[in-house]
Amino acid sequence: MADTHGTDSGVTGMRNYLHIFIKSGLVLFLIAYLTVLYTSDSAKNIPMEQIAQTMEQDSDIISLNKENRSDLKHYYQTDDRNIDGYFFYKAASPMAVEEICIMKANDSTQANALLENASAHLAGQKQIFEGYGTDQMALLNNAVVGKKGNYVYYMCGADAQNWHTAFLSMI
Amino acid sequence: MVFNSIFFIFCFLPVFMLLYYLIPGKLRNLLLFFGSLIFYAWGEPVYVILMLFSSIFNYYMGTELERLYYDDRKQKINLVFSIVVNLAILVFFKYYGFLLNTIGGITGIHIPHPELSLPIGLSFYTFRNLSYLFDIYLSKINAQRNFLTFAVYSTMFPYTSAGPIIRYADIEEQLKQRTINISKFGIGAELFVKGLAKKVLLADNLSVLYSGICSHPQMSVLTAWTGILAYTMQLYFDFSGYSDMAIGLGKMLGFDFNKNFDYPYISTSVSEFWRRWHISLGSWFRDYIYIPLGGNRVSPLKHIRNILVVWALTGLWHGASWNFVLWGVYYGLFLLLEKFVLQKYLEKIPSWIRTVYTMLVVMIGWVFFSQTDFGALGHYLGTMFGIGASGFIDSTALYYLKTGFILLLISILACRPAPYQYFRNLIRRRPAAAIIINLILFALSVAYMVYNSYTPFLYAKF
Repeated sequence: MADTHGTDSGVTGMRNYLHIFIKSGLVLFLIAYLTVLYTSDSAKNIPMEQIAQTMEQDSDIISLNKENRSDLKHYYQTDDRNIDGYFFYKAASPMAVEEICIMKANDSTQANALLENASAHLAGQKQIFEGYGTDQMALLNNAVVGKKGNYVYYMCGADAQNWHTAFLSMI
Repeated sequence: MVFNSIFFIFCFLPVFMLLYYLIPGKLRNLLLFFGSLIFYAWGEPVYVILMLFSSIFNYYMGTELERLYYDDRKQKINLVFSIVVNLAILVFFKYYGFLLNTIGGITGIHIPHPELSLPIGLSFYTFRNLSYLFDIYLSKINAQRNFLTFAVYSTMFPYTSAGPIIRYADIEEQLKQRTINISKFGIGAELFVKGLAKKVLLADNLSVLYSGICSHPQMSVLTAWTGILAYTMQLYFDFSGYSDMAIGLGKMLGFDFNKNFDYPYISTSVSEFWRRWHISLGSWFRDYIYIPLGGNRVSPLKHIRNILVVWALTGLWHGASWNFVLWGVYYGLFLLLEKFVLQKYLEKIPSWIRTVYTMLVVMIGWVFFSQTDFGALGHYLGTMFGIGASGFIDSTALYYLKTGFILLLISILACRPAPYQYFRNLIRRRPAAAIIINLILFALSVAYMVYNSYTPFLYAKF
């Protein structure tokens, strides 16, 4: 009897350890997951005015046309009323593809929807110039479309990579 | 993925429903689980892992709480552990920046912090899972042993993004076995169309009206009241529209979810308003915070404390910003005022005057809700009462009243029960006419969605 009792308490003790092990494993997994998220997709909360001030120091950007909310709606199927802020410059000529647009979404779903719209905009631009606009296609093939935190960006131009670096260093 | 998108309505939903109705009943939970993951992952490819983790963790902790039923101390420790982990996730994504900014504001030290995007529906599924654990702890339910069944409860796509906060006990049997038939599908589809029309045709247009008004730095008293009336209606149609769609989708899948709204704008007191608005959240706070704190069965001082704590938390649940806390406390104070002072007077006056009083309180409350910046909040509130206003009435007010008159009139009518009662009678008398009306509403909503840009649900960000 004593042996059986000893075996039972031994099994119970093992089970308790197993449960502590499972709980610790779940917590460790959560910490690892949140750490990865924090380091990969997070962005500083920088006001759009501050982003605009920094980006507008680039003369290539301010040589483009500053676009308004209806243009944003036209090109990205989004309304600035539904997003936290935007910064949008685009070449005046319909034959030019230089453009920079940074949008700040309110949440991740909205950010993903904006990213889809920005990617669709790039695909649309490529469709327009494919076959005859060699210079435009070169710029479009090097365009940067992406998302970091709640920010979604579309950058197309000779300096797109520099704009991208400057923007990422801010957030 | 969102309900008010062409992709959801014309691709995801028909394919999913077709499969759901064709496969054997035993496989429906499996399909619902994977369908829900796809629905969530469509907009949240990274955060689907978080939602899965939450399901696994809470499923496991549910079985643990039940295993430790006879060991009070260990059961309590495990409950606290579960709450800490669930709330840690919520704080990490939702309140982390708010806490650091608040600490920075008090100490004067600016603490730079990166900002993570908020996983959609996080507050809703955290509260849903917590209610499951609390109910096991309180021995109201048994822990679900089948992971798939629990995972369906935890992740089901109709209510993932913006509620209602469905209790496990309410759908426990339906998770195992539910009836699907054409009649239930029809009722569900009709509810879905009603919700879609509320969101797309009313809420989105009211949003344009309100944001147009807010873009004026200076406004008259009438403009400010017109704006907040539009916002009051927008918020109701946005959120109740989502709830209708969620409940409708649930019906199409064979579930019966409790209603989340019960015509809150016909309430004759603030306390009645909160029994009719976001019912699932109100009952959550009542059952898991207010009653455990002692509810009203304590000294008056503690009762006051309980109400203020619950309402500050209700405010904070809505957003990581002090304006939401203020909004919650504002309601807490009005509920106390009604309970201790106004109740006896309110009973004596005509119900329409009580409704006007309630709506005034509610509309002023929505100003706290809509303006996250305290300066803008003060300015808007001041303008509504003539402080800093450009006058009582101006051409801007007349312009917005003229252009928004039909919309506001339809909105005021549509937030009362009469049109729906009429529609229910119509279904009985002339079913064909009811079908035509539904088809027209659906076609108009789709046309509007195609023409207009994507507009998120206001409550999805909570």
